[in-house]
Amino acid sequence: MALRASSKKTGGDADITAITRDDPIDGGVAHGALLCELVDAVIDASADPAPARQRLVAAAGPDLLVEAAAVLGMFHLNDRVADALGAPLDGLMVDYRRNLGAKMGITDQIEGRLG
Amino acid sequence: MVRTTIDYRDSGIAVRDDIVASQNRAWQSLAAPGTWWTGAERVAIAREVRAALGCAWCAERKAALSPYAVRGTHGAATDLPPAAVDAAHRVATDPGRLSRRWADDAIAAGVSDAHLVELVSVVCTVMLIDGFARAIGADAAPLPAPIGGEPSRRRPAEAVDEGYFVPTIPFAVGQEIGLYERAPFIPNVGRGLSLVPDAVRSARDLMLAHYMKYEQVATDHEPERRPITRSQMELVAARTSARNDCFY
Repeated sequence: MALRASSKKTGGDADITAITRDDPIDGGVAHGALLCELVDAVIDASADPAPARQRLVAAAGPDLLVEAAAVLGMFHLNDRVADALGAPLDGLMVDYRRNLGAKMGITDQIEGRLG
Repeated sequence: MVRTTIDYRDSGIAVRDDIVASQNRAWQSLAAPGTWWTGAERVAIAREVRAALGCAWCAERKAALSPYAVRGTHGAATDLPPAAVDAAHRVATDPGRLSRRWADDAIAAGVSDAHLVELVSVVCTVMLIDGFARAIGADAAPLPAPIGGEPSRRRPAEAVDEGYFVPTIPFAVGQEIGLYERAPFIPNVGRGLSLVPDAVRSARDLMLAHYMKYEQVATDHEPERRPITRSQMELVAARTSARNDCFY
């Protein structure tokens, strides 16, 4: 939700399929593919993040790397707090999840998780 | 006492001062006696987070259709109770398949609900700081030396069952006692740790430096004086959550 809303605010229209695609794309976000490559390489413990890091720095500079690393780190925390302690989905996120599932063709899976 | 500090200057990457400062506060807090675990136990939990990343059983379970389908033992790095080792390893390596059954099993095995919340807080702090370092190409910070002393063992009377796996402090109550920000909305994840109020305070401090205030999450807040757009932040956040198999 925040990805699409923040994109619209700045005149863009982010493609939310960029979130889960195996082949990273910008999705209407500046340096989006490079940011996704960095996330993938950091989370895959068997991967070497150096090439993705170098590509991002070459294209956007080290400051964006730091900011991306900060958000990535924060969501390592938030995701685990939510999953380990069973944080209920916020009401305003339920419709978003349904719309996201429809767009991605995974309606059944989303409904299953929503219960 | 010499305390290990986090310092990225040797990495050749300039890191915002408030990020470094918040990580150092979290690191020092990690080494100190908590609410339910001693400083030595908290550092041991942190050590298990790092051991989990090389734990063969964790890798085998992660690859299995169900984490309960594979029997084995963890490559533990400490003498923490087995239930605590298992909880630390599971939260670190397979968070997307944690469930109420998992939490109930951990509690039944002797990790109390409050101990579990504090353990999750420590695991998450290490995952944040180590993940940040890995992303920018810095060495993982040495774990801090434990600080002596006893846990406070204060359980908030305000915590009740709100549908989480553990009791939490309701939104309005937490605002009244000054635990949560004064705001119309705070995402539920911001209250998950509230059975251990110090864990909420630590997470909120990290949020402010690394992302934004909890109250800003559901707004169109655009970061000021940061070389990243909100869209870029949200793409990184969503991609990270997807790769962590986080439905929330």
